[in-house]
Amino acid sequence: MNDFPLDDAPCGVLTFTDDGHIIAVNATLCRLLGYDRDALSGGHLQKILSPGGRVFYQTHFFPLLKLQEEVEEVYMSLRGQSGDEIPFLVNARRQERNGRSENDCILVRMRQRSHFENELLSAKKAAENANKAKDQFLAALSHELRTPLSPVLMMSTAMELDPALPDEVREQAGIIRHNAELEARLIDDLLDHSRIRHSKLTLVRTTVDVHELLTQTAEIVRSEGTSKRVNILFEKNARDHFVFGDAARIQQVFWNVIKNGVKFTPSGGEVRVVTSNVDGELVVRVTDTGIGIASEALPKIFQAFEQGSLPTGSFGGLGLGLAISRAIVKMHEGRIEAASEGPGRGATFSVALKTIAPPAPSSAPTTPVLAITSRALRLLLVEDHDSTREVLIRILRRAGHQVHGAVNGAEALELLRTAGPFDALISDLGLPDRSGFDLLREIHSTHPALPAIALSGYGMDEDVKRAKDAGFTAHLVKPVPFDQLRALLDQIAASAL
Amino acid sequence: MISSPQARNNVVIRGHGTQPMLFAHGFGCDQTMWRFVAPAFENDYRVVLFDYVGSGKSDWSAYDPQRYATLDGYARDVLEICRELDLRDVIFVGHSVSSMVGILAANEEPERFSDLILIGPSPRYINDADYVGGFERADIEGLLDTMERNYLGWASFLTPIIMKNPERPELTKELEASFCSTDPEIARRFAEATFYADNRTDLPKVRVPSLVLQCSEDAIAPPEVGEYMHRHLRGTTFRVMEATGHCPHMSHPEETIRLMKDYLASRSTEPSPAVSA
Repeated sequence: MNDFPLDDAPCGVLTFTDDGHIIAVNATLCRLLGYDRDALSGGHLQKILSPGGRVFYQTHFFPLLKLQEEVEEVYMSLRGQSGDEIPFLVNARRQERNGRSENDCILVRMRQRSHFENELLSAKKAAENANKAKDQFLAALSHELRTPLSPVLMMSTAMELDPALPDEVREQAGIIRHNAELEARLIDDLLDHSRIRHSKLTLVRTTVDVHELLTQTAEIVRSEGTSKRVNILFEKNARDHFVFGDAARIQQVFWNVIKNGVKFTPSGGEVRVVTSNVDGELVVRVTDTGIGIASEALPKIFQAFEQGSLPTGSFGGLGLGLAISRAIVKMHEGRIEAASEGPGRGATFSVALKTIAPPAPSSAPTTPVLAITSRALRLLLVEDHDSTREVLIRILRRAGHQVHGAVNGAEALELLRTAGPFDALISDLGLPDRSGFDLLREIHSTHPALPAIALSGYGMDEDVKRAKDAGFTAHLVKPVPFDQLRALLDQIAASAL
Repeated sequence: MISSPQARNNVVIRGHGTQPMLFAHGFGCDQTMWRFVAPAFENDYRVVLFDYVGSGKSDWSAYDPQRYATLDGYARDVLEICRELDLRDVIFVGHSVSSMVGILAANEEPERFSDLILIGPSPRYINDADYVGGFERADIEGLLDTMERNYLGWASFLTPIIMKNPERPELTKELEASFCSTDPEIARRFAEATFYADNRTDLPKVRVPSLVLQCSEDAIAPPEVGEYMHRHLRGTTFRVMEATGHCPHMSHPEETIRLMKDYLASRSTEPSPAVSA
């Protein structure tokens, strides 16, 4: 042993058998552990392993070494003669020698590094916890912010559409509605951003007619363009305009890009939306005559909280729209690009998506277009938020439906017995006495065919999925989009005919 | 999407026999750890290998922290695999924690199993009053700490080294893809489910004949634990191995295979051993 070639090497050297018997150990390791060589040589590895280290050795270190023939950079804590634990970084390799397998290790003591690792570990944990807390906070915050928006939005919509009110009042109600919608959109963007960051955004894909989607988007953005005197023109030149995607999400992309064009284009300007087919793809180009983008800012505009070289906030918004759009397009295996000849020379955004064959003519419309069928329905509405319930009742009654309102599950079940039968249930998911899921289960046990629409402040994809799994026909996120609610009720009316 | 147990647990079936032999790996690894033992049974049995959810090439998206918080969740996986493949008369071979998983499964559906082969079993790792498990709670925390530091990325655990084994390139490929590539969170939970478990009361309920292979000098399942198993498991054949350590199927495959074959041979000549004792 005295001629051990690496006796005084600046690291520990150790050889052991598969049984864990130490057959060679250098002076450095003996010194570091505080043992005489005689006390270690011929002894068992167990002697220098802590109890936790023994388990780690048996469950990880040895199996890996045996299967891979070598391991690198493994952290092991060894136990010195005085009982203190000394952290080491270990590399090991198996060698066939003397007619058996021997395992050679080098061990580097890591005192300082170990402290840093501890700090890194606790910093990592703290960051992960803070991130989790942030997500929970965002979800809770958006829920809290959405809830009071719901009655504002519905009430203003109802007033705007009420022919009995003076034009001026209706116009003002329109402004309230518009701003409430903007607020809702900001909250949605925050939620989407957080979902994308955590890969929680899921797509519900169907055959989507992009031209039809653009028509619908045009309706939404037209009013913004008109109020700003920016002309929005559509040229639908593509022959193949069907894609396999999530209609609502793709619409969100177009809405973002067109809205952006309007936002950054001065009065009297123009936003042109042109579709074409290039190499089996559908390309939608949105070109504006706006303020343009400086070349150095181009690479950054798809990053969150960026608005080119402009200080965030100077044009309003959170700077999330394009970041979300890019993520959505990417999830559809498509591309989104921006181009500009420079400041003051406008910008072009293009979205490219793979096309698919159009659906057979006999199949149902691809996106739920507002159906014209309308029939008075008997509705059971369960919502504990007083103003939301009252506004919904008002709007639904104005649409010609008979509505019974309940503030909790117990009242809903009572109404079902005393005031039924109903054609559909509309229920909030977070009720004071039980969840909407439980309520529907109870109702479906006696009325299995009752169509049900879920309302909730959370728009997380898991909620949507859970609602579907629980038997809800559809799930609407507050503030309740009345168009969608009406379309759903029309569908229920039509299918009940 | 819910995957079938077969896909979820990356079930691999080999061998030419009819009687199924189901190999369940221990904590820290995956089914590749059976490589030195399982092939020896392929001529006579239908060898079924699998990975627990969160290990190896299992469907990690199927990991449910609640289900796998205790060993019962892992036992459910075993039974679901058996049901899906319609395995009967199963010889269950479990290493370490899987011994307890096998016992739980066999207590749930005793009629499905013909034998349990338990390698390095322990019904409880932590000392408790007169019971010697070999560990204190703080020791297990030391393990968790070591795991955590290694899983953080300093160790090359997650990126296995390409094995210098040109004559068997398929092994290299297999290793690259799977071995020990474990999610730190899942590994931690599996460690807690394993080392904080107490399955002592499940032992007397076992009705299926068993073989216990106890290593000499096993740091994880010390001799006292082996003796405890022997005392509380009815109709068991208890063998102390020459092999040392906790992974005889990796360090001493020949002895492991020999003892398993001896036991199975004795079982076939003597179909109903003294289980009623």
